[in-house]
Amino acid sequence: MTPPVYSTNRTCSRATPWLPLTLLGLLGALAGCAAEDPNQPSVVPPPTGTDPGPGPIGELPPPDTCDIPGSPLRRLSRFEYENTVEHLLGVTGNVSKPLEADASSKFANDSKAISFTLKGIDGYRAAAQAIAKQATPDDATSAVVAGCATLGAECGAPFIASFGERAFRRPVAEGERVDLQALFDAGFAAAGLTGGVRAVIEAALQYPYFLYRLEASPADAASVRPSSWEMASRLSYLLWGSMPDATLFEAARQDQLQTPAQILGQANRMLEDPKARRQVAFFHARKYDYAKVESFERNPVAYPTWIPGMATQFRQESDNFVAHVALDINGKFGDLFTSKFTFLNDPLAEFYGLPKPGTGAVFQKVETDGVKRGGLLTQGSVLMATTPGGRSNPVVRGHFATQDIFCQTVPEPPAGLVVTPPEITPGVGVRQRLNEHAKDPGCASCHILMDPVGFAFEHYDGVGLWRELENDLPIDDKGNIANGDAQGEFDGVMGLQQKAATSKDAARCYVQGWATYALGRELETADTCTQDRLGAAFEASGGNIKQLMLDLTQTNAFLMRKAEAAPQ
Amino acid sequence: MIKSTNRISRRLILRSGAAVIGLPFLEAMLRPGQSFAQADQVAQRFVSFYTPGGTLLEYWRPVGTETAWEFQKMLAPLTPFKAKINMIDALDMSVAIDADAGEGHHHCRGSAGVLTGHSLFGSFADGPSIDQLIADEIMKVHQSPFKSLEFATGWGTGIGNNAPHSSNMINMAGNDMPLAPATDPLSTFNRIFGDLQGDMAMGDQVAVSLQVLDSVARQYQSAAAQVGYADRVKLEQHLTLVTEARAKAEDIANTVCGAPKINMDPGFYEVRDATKDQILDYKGDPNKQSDMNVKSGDLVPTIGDVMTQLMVAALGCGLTNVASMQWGDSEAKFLLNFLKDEAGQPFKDHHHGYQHDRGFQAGSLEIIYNFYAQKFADVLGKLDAVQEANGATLLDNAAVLYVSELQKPDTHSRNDMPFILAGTAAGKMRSGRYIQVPGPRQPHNHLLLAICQLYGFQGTVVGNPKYCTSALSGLS
Repeated sequence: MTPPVYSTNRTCSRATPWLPLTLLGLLGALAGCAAEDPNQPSVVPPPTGTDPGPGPIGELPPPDTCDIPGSPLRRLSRFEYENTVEHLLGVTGNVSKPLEADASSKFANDSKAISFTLKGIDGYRAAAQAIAKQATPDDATSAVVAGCATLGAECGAPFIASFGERAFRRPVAEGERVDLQALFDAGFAAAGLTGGVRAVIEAALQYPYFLYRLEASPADAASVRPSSWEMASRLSYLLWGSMPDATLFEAARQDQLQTPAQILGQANRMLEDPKARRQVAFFHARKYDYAKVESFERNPVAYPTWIPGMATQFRQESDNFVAHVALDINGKFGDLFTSKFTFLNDPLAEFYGLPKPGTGAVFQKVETDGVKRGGLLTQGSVLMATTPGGRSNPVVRGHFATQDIFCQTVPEPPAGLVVTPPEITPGVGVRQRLNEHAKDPGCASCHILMDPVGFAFEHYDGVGLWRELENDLPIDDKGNIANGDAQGEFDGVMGLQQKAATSKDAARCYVQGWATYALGRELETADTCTQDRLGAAFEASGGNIKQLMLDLTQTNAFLMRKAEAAPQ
Repeated sequence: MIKSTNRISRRLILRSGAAVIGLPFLEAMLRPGQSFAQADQVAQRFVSFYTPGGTLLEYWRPVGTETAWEFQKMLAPLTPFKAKINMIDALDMSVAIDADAGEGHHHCRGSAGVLTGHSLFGSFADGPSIDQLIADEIMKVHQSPFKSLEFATGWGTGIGNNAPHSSNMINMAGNDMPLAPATDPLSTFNRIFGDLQGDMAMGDQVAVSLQVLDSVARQYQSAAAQVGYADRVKLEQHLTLVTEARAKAEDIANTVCGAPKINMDPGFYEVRDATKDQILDYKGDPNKQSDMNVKSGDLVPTIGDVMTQLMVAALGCGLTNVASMQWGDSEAKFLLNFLKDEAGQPFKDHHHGYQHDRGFQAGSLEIIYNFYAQKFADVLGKLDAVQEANGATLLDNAAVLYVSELQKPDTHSRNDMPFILAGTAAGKMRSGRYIQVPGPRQPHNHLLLAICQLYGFQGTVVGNPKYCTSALSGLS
C-alpha cells in the first residue's frame, strides 16, 4: 500500500482568501509617505514614455529625506564571514562550517533574527581556532602573515596594529591593543611566533568589532552620519559582501567617506572590482531562490543523462550570467530575462545538447536561440531548483514565479493538509493530473495563482533539459498570470520572461529584494518611502542594475544611522 | 563558573593520587594516573536512541513471560544485555494518533511526540522532550559542561534536507525549540573535546585559548558600553554566552579524561562526493516525489560508530549526563547499500522504500531492524564497558530509551509502540523484564513520566496533559 505523501507547505488554503495586492502595493496603499509626512518629498512619478535608457552612471540623485525606521546591529552572515576571512587572511575553504546556521531569512542576513546560542559561540571559537591554524602552518608563513622579517617577539606590536585595523575595520583601540599584546606574548612564550600570531588571530576573529558591524550611536534617537570608517564597512558589505580594501581604508583614514559624492565615487570604483561579481551572484541566487540547487541530486532512472555535480555547473552558469548582465554590459533588469546569451563550458553545453564552446571547464559567453535557451528562467539552476522531486512540478514552479518574480502573496495552505500527489498513468497529462486543484473551489482560489504559470515551464524537465513530450503526450505550455500588471495569457517560458521583463510589478519586486538585502532586515511600512524612491529611479533608468546598486548607496537609510532609543 | 562534582579535576587528582579504573574502551581515554569520580559523585545519566520506521512487532515481541523470556532472531544482538533490558510492550502514542491532538503527517507527529508526549501544532512539538526535563533534574545535583548533547548519522534526509523539520526532530528544548543533532564528527569532536587536548597541540595552548576567551569577554563588555541601547542588549547576550563558554572550556580542560581517538582526516567524513557516486546505483522509482533528497548511505555506519564513540566518551567523562543518538530520521532516505539482503546482494533502496514506497517488504525490513539492533547493542556494550566509581557500569547508572516514531512500518500505526528501556538509572529501575502493559490501554506519556520520576522529577504531567493522567507503574 502507499500511504499519502505529505506536504504541509505547498497545498491550498480553504481558509484564507487570496490577497490581490503585492506587498509593495499594500505598503504603498497604506503608507504614502508624502501624504503623511510633510518633510518627505512626493514620490517621483514614473516616466510616461518608454525605455529612457540608462542615465550616466555616477550621477548624484537628489538628496533623500526618507525616514529610517531603524539601523539594527548587524552580524556577519556566513557568506560575509567567509569572504572577510578570505580577504583578511587569504584563508578559504568552507571556514564558516562550525558557525551556527544563518537567520532563516531570504538573504540570510536579517539583523533582527540573529540568534544567540552557546553552540553558536562555540562555533565562532572553533572557526577562529581553525582559521588561525590554517593561516599559520609554520613559522615562515607566520612571519609573512605578521609582516615581519624576524621571528622575534618584536613582531607582535606592528602585527597587532596592522592586522587589528583590518580585522576590526578601524584603528585598534588601546584596550584591544593591550589585550592582544598580552595574548601574543602568552602564545609566543608557548610556541614562538606562530603561537603568538595564532593567539592574536584566534582572539580577533571573536572580537565584537570583527563579528559585528558596530557603529557608534548618538545619545538621543536622532540620525547621524556614520564615521568614515563605519561607512567603509557599509560600502564594502553592501557591494562586495566583504571587508573594505586598502583604498577604502585609506579614504576612511583621510575622512573622505562623508559626502554622498565621496561615497558614490567609491561605489563606482567598487563595482569595477571582481569582488562585486560575487555579491551580485549571491544576491540573485537568493532572490530567485536557486542558491539551494547545489545540494540537489537526481535519480538516474528518471534522468538517465544526469551527471552528478552538474548542479554546480548550473550555478556557475547563472553566476556568470547575472554578473555579466549587471556589471559588464551595463545591463537592465529586463536583460536578466530576455538576453539571448548565456555562459557555458564544455560539460554543461554537452549536457544541454548545445555546441561546446571548446573551452574545457572554463565558462564562455555563447549566443542562444532565444527559443529554448536565453534568460535566467531557461537556465538549469532555476529549472532544477523549482523541481524538488523526481518530476517537474508546475505548482512549485508557479509558486516560484508568482512569489519570487512578481512578489505576489500566495497564502499558506491549510494547516496539516495531507496531499496525495496524483498517480502517473499513461495518457494523462500534467494538466489533467492537477485538475483537482481547479475542480475543488477550496484549492482553486490559490492554485489559480500557481498552476497556470507553472504549466509554462513544462518543456523543461527537472534537470533543465528541453523535452517535447511529458508522460508521452505533447506539451501545452500556454500560461496565464492571474493578477497584477503582467496579468494575462502567454506562451511558454519565453512568454513569461517577456512579461517579467516588462512588468513594473516584477521590477519593483526586484528593487524590494535589493532593498531588503541592503538594509539587512525585513522591510517595514516606513521603508516604503525608500523603496518608492529606489523604484522610481530604477524605472527612470530603464531598470539599470548597476545604477540601482549605486542608488542604494545614496539612500538616507545607507547614508545615515538611526539609533534605537532605550525603552522608557 | 560551572562546578562539576561529577569528576575529579586535575588539581584534585594530584592531591589524592587516585587509582586508575579503566576498562578497554575507556582505558585509552584516561590520562595516566587519573580516575573517574568517586562513588558519591557518580551522576545518573539518560540516553535516548532513535531509529526510523517502527519495527516488525511480531519479531520484536519477546517470547515468554515477564521474567522468563527470550529475544527472537531480529533482536538477537541485544541478548548479551538481556538482564539489563526492559521490553515495554503495548503503549499507544495517542498524542500522535488522535485527530484533534495534532497536525501533520504520521511520521512528523510521531517524531514530535515520541520523546515529548506533546502535540505537533505548527513547525515542531509543543513542548520539551524528556531528555531535557531529565537534564534539568540531573543538573540540580551534578552539573556538567554540556546540559545535553545530541548526535546523529544519516540525518536530515528527504523533506528535511539537512535542516530541522518536524520529520526529523525528536529532542526539544521547549515549544518550537528543536535541538538539532550534530552530524559532522570533526566539528563535534572539537566542540566537545577540543579543550581537552588543546586544539593547537602546543603545550600550553589550552591555557592561551582560555586567556583568549577572557579577552574576548572583556572586549564585549567594553563594546557594549560604547553603543546604543538596542545594540548593547545584543552584545550583552553575546557576552553572557562567552562567559559560559569560558567556564565550560576550563571545566573541560580540567577533566581527567583524554579525548577519544577518532579519525581526524578532514576528508574522511565528507559525504558529498560519495553521494554523487553512490546515487548512480540507485534504482528507485523515478516518479515518486518521495524520492527527493535521497542521500548516500556510504558513511552512515562510519559516522554513526564515531558519534557513538563520542557520545559514550562524553558521558563517561561527565562532559554531559544526557545524550541522544539518532540513526536517520523518519524520512529514512539514505541508501542502505552497506547492508546485504537475503540473497547476499547489497540493498538498493532506502529504508522508506522497503516500508511502503515500493511495497511492504518484511524480509528486507527484518534485516534493517536487525542492523539497528546491532547498533543499539553497540551503545549498550560501550556504556557497559565503563566501570564507574560506585561499582556499577555507566549502563547501570543510566536509563537508555530506544524509540521510533511509529510502530508499523507500512501503515504507520502508532498503537502498541515498541519501547526498549535499558539500564537501571543508578539502581532506581528493575530491569531484565518483558513488561506487557496490562489493560486498559495507556498512552506512552505514562512511560515518559515514569522515566522522569526515576530522576527525581516532581511534576505529574509530561507532554499533553490529556494523555498523562498517571505514571506507568512497576518500573522501579
